[in-house]
Amino acid sequence: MSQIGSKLAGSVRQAKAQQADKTTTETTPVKPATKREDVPLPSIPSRRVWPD
Amino acid sequence: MSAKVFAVSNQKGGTGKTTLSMNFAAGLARRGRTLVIDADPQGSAGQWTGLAPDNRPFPVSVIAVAGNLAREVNRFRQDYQYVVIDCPPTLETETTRLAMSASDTILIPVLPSPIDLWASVRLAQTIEQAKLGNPKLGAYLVINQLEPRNALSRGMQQALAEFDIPSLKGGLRRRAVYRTSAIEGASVFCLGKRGEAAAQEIESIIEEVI
Ligand SMILES: Nc1ncnc2c1ncn2[C@@H]1O[C@H](COP(=O)(O)OP(=O)(O)OP(=O)(O)O)[C@@H](O)[C@H]1O
Ligand SMILES: [Mg+2]
Repeated sequence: MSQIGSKLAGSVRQAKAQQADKTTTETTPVKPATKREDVPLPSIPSRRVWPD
Repeated sequence: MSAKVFAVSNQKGGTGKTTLSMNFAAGLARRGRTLVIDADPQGSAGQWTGLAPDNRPFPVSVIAVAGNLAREVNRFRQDYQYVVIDCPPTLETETTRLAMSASDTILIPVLPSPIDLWASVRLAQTIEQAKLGNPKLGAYLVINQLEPRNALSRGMQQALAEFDIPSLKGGLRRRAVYRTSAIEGASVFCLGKRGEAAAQEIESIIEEVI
C-alpha cells in the first residue's frame, strides 16, 4: 500500500461522493446561480498607459 | 456464428481507446474473423489501416458507422467471431449509449493520472445504467501508459479497487511502439522484435477477457 495509492484511492472515493450528490440534486430545483454582474469587479489600479 | 462484441470506451479523450481497439482486434484476428467498427467521427481507426502498405494490409477491416450502431452490430454478428467498437470520447452522444447496449464487454482504458480516474467515475455510472437494459454487459478498466517506475502508476491498482468495475490484471505500458504501430498502419503483432513485449501485453488482455 503506497502513500500515493491511498491518496489516489481517497480522491476516487471523493469523486464518487460528489457524483452521487450531483445525481440526487439534479432532480431537485437548485438555487439560481449568482449572476455574473452581481459579483463586484475587483478594483485593481491600472498602471497601463495607453498611447494616444 | 454470433460475434462477441467489445466496445472500447471512455469519455475522456486520449486515453488509448483507438490504440487498444486496433491492437486488441489484431490479436483477436489471430483467433477468428474480426471486424473493427469505427464509431468515432474523428475516424482514427480508419486512418490507421489506411497507412498500411499494400504488401502488408492491416489484418482487420475497419468500417465507419454513423447511423444506428446497434442495428449495424447485429448485422455483423453473423459474419464475424469478434467485433470491436472504437467509441468516441463522449458519453453524451447516442453512439456511446448504443455501443453499450449492443456490446457484451466494455473495455475502459484509463491513464495513470488522478484527473483521468475522476472522470471515469461518471463513466462507471453510465455503465451501471446501461446494465439495466443489457444485464449481461461486462466491463473492465484497463490501465494504459503504465510506467512501472512511476509512483502514480504503482498506486493505480489501489485506486482502481475503489471502482465497482473490475480492472484487468494486465495493462499496457507506455511504449513508443504503440505510437509507431499507428503510423506504420500495423499492429504490434507484426513489428517483430520491436513489438514483442507490447504484443505480449495485448495477448494477456485477450486471455483475460475472452
Ligand atoms: N501505451 C501507450 N504507449 C505510448 N503511447 C500511447 C499508448 N497508448 C496510447 N498512446 C498514444 O497516446 C495518444 C492517444 O491515444 P489514442 O488516440 O489511442 O487515444 P483515444 O482514447 O483513442 O483518443 P480519442 O479520445 O481522441 O479518440 C496517441 O498519440 C497514442 O499513440
Ligand atoms: Mg480514438
